Amino acid sequence: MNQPLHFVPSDEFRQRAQAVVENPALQKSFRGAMDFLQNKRLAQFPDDVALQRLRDLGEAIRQYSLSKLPDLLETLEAKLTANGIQVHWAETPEDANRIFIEIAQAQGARAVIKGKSMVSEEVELNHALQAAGIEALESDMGEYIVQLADEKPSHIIMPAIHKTKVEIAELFAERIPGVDYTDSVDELIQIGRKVLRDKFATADIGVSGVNLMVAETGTLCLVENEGNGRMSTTVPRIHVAITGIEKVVEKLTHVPPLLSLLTRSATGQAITTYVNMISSPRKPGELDGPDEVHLILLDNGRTQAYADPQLRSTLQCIRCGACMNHCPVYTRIGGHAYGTTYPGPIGKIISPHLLGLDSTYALATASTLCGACAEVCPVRIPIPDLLIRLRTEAYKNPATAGEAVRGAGSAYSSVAMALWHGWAATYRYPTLYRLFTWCASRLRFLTPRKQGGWTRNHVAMQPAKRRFRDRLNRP
Amino acid sequence: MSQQAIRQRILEKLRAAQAAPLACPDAEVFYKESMEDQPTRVERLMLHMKNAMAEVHRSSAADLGSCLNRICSDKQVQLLAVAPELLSDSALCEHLSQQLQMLPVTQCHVDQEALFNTVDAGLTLTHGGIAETGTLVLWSGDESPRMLSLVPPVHIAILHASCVVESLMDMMIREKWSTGLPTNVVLISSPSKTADIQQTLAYGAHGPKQLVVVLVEDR
Repeated sequence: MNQPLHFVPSDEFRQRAQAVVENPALQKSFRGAMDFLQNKRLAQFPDDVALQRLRDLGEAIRQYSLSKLPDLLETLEAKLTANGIQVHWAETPEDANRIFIEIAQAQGARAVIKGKSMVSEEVELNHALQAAGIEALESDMGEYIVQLADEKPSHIIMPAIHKTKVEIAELFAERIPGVDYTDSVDELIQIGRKVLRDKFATADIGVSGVNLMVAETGTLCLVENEGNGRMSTTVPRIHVAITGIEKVVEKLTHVPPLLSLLTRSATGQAITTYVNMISSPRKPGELDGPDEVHLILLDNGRTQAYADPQLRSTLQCIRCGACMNHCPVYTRIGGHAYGTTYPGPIGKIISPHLLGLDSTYALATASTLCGACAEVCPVRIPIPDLLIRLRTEAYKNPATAGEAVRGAGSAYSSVAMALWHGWAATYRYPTLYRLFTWCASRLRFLTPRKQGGWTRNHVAMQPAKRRFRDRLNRP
Repeated sequence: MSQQAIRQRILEKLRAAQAAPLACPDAEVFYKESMEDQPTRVERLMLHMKNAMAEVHRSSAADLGSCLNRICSDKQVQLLAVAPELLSDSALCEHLSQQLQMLPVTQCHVDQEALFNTVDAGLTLTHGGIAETGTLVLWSGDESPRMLSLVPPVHIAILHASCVVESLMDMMIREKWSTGLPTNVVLISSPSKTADIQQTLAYGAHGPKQLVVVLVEDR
């Protein structure tokens, strides 16, 4: 089914992006979707002063939680274990998949129903399960559509945002047995509901992500609108939650502000339809709920981000997707062009830790540093600063690049570096600068007509006949 | 590598990079006690819920049975799954059973087959309500199964007006949630919905297509 996109080389990033930019239908659907999400968010924050205060609090809570991360993880583990939830640790995607398959095999599980989980996308759980002969079906409507189409989500909150209802109607008619073409959204949703209902009732394991984990009570918080998250965590006999190690907060009272920031920033809702707080498996005497609850805590490069004081702020993220909704680049190229699980600005800053900078540095360069992402980020991640930092890491001399980011120095070119050093010197020394500009204006006929990336979209640059300085002196 | 070794490695990497902990932010002070009186607060909850496409009704404690019967006949509910927490109210049950069939959700199991296939509506109590966002709070427990508010196409929830508070934070603090939570707490603010197809809102995605709130004014 889905092909892993992990290994799509970055140099194809430009071609994928180009293809989307040249597709007017996609342009229209992304623009429409982003305008919709931007307006919905804005309507939720009518009072800017209140918004800034709430963002301050959100940022403070996330930074505080990260400052105590190893302690909170230990408290969380102890509390969850006491509550009867089994905690597993995974350093790599392979670890996570292996743990999952062991849980499934120990129970003889054949079918898994999945609530929405970006971390399960990150480890490509569906692939691993399929290879182990276990059926894995997505139940979030957007994820279900994307899975039917053998694609990957193009947005972390709205996975099928790149598809029109007509495309989805055609997909349903073609892929779901016994379904006739209809482009009524209500009917399409009812078709999905019907197919998936049977699966909820019969699946052995329900999978979910986690939005926030609370250390003091040992609670997993899940936010959703459809009810598939509740279904996946209530109906099957076993519930396996999978998430990144950074998603923990200390106190229950840290949840409401983050929850409010999350849902308002993500989809412009004061609160989602359901907020689901799970603290244990079914207790004796209770009438329903899973007998077993497991939590898989995934590292996958997060400890690398954590180790650097500046890059650590990447882990403040609560995955609302507001940065992509407001990104002029994301709006034009869509989520698939990035080739990574997490697209958009957050994808640019988290992917290098998950996959290495060598395969992802091009993403960090695809930004005008306009700062829209940082302006809307509910927990104030300084995304443009992190992009500059990652660019710097990528272009460092590999010999002296250090170990802050795996793959640092992979974009290094000694010629380019020499040119930049020359450029810097020219601007540092006035005599050199004057000499350079004097020569440039005299030798302007030598300017190449093809100037790399610049002339792909612009007229070639040429020095003026007379320097600005000369015109000032002799108007 | 063993589980234990992986755990150790992750924690060691984090510990090696850990600086001094920051000061703990006080999230509680952010949520001011509102000066509103209870009736106004309840009105706000009801308005939010109505705007979120929930159906809202009011009833006195004495009239609850007939109010529920009216709702059920209006929705052509024939088989109603009633949460065990309500079964002890024999007057209410008698009232309901005059008109419709009640699924015996006994104290030892939930009939999953029936819930998925034949039950028309689930009837539950609620733990409380949140005015700020128009939200019902449901706590799971021995007599409060989770599926009744999730699986049948209609969820009817009884909310006592005195249990409405201003915010989630308010409820957490007043009731000392940090000292222990039940297996499951769920906040419900509308019928199940999705906008995953071309940002078009559709109701009845995976959970109930209709959410009916019956506010009981207990004086």
